[in-house]
Amino acid sequence: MNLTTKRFPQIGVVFGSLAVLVLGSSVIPLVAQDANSGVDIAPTTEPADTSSFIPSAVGTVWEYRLVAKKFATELERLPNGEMVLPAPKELLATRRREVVATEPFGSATVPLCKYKVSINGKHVSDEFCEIRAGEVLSYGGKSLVRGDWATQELTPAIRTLQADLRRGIHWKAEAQIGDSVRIIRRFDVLGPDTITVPAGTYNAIRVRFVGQDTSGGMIKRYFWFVHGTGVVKSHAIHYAKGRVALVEIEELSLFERGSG
Amino acid sequence: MNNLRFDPILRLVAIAVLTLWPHVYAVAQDSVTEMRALPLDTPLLPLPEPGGLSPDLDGPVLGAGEQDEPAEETILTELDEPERMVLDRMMLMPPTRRILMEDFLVKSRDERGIHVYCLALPSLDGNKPRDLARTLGKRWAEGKPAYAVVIYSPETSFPIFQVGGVLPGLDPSYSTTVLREAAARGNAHQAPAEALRGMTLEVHEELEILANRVELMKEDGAVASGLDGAESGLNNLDGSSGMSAAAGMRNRIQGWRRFLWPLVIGLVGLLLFGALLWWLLRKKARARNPRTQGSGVRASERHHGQVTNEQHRQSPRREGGYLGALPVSTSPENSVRSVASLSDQAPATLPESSAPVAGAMPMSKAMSAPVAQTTSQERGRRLPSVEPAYRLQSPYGGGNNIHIDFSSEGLKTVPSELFGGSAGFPPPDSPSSAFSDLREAPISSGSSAPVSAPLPEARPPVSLPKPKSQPSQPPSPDEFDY
Repeated sequence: MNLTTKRFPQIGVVFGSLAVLVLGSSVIPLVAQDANSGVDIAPTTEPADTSSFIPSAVGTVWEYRLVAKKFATELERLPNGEMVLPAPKELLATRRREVVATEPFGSATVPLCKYKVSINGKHVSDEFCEIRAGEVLSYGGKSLVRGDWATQELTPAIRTLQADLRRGIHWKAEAQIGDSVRIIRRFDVLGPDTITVPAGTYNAIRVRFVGQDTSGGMIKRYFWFVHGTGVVKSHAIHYAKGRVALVEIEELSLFERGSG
Repeated sequence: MNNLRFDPILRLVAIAVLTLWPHVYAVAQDSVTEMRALPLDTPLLPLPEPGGLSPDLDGPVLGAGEQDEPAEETILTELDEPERMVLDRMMLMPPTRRILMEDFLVKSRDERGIHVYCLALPSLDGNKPRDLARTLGKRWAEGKPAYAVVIYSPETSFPIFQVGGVLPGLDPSYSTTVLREAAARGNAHQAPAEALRGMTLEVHEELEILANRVELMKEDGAVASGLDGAESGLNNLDGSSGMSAAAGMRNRIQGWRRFLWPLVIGLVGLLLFGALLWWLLRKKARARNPRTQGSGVRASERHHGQVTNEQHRQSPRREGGYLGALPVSTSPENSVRSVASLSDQAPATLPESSAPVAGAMPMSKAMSAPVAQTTSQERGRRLPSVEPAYRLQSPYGGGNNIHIDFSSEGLKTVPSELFGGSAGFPPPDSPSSAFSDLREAPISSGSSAPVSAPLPEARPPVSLPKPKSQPSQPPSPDEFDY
């Protein structure tokens, strides 16, 4: 009963304990992510050939056959009460990417190449890139998310491609989206690869990037790039909550060079 | 336990603990090579894919006659070189996948000098998985540019790996980073076979990329002169943890973290438990004597009147503060007189059964009477109050069948039967008994008003996740957030 005679602040104790827990839980992920702050070990080599490594004329069209498989990350309850992991959903679609204009976006000081992306004819996003002599900088864009258009500007713009794609080349990019989300992308050139897609057979270069963001998402994407044509195949794996959430494979089925 | 059920702060604490505990514990247990196997069944590059657009996730199914036999049981640590790169002694993987991966790893070994061994062992024979992986790696691939041994066993429950090699010029911390991420991706698979395969391919891919970088550095020539004698970021990997030597300090910190966080969590839990216990005891004390809370007088003294005159004499300020700031030097006699004079101002409506006024007693009797008891009674006269049990009861004895209890957990309704009928007020001389009866009395289903919410309906048992049948309707792009 002596406990009842102590006059320590009860609310302070309870909320102090809560604060310890909350702070601890917020600090631990930071500590756990400490090792992820890796650094590149070799400087990126300047591109040797930078002439027209990717088409950017208005009217250029890439059309891909898309297979997307979405995996459930949460259990669901069946009518009989049983908890199950829902089967993945698979989507077969056509993704079309087209250079539609050159216009400013966000904080960019120069007009950017605007790509209109649609799936099965439905306009789903706009992407803005700056095509430089030896690299492509992405500034983000606008996406249709559950019926609403959301703007996601990358600050600063990140390099998503470069002309020098020798095996072993790597680069790293970091950017901020809004005030809260920070993304990291690490690109590695895996080497040449001959690839056959519906549009034909190409001598491509396979590039992999892995990325993560502060909201907990991870992504790994392979893409096969052909100088003068662009990406002919892509294979992306999205991770959420430590699980694979979405797998996308797309292969080039149509390529039309623009004249604009 | 009603306190626990209704108190919002305690509920918040409980939710916080239950929510954060597994997360904190999981992070505390995290390490590079030991992560929980997580679900997925998805293709992983760079295994060759069949033609066409749709990936063949599982590969063709072979007939029973085509299933190859598991490798002969030999003691791995005595082998100078394994017969295969993929030793699936548990028959985890489908044969087609096993063969594909074997071919892939053999090709990489022959062309690039990257040795990656994939082992699925039914038992580790008492070895620690990391020690076994390190031993096998050193025995099978010592001196190779890069190597890894990936082991899955039911004893490990998820794949672990060890990495080594002599690739020069690699930054150990960077190697650690990429291998850590590879482990995370590899473990994002649910089935052990997929996790083992995913881990093997992810680790191989990272080793291949590191080898590519070293080759490129040599080709560039600018830094080649320093590479031959350079220390290898892989060669310095700490075999016991699968991490680089440069990250040894971090490893030790992580090792401490394994103990530190449970310790911190335990202390916090202890603190919370103490706070909870104190809270409950205080609530209980309040329920017993709600008018004494917040005073400087010990509850035991107030409740049981155990303070002697000597104690009272030694601590006049304590009682004085309670009785109206009696001076420190006030004698017990004066204290009693003071109380008695105050009690004279008590209302005339005091019940007959009230304790006798100390002033009306002989001084010797007053001196021998427990002071705290006296003062409590006098306080009751001076500031008459209504006991909580009566406080909000209807003045119309027969008409009210609801008793409202404000003294403890908040509002609740209680059928009047619990108080002995529609007019059954608790007896005036035992107000607290009404509360104890209220808490302990069983609530019959025929009560006019429910005391608590109905019991939750029994939930069906939760079974292991099973895939649901494929929906007949194809999903729309909207479901994929496109």
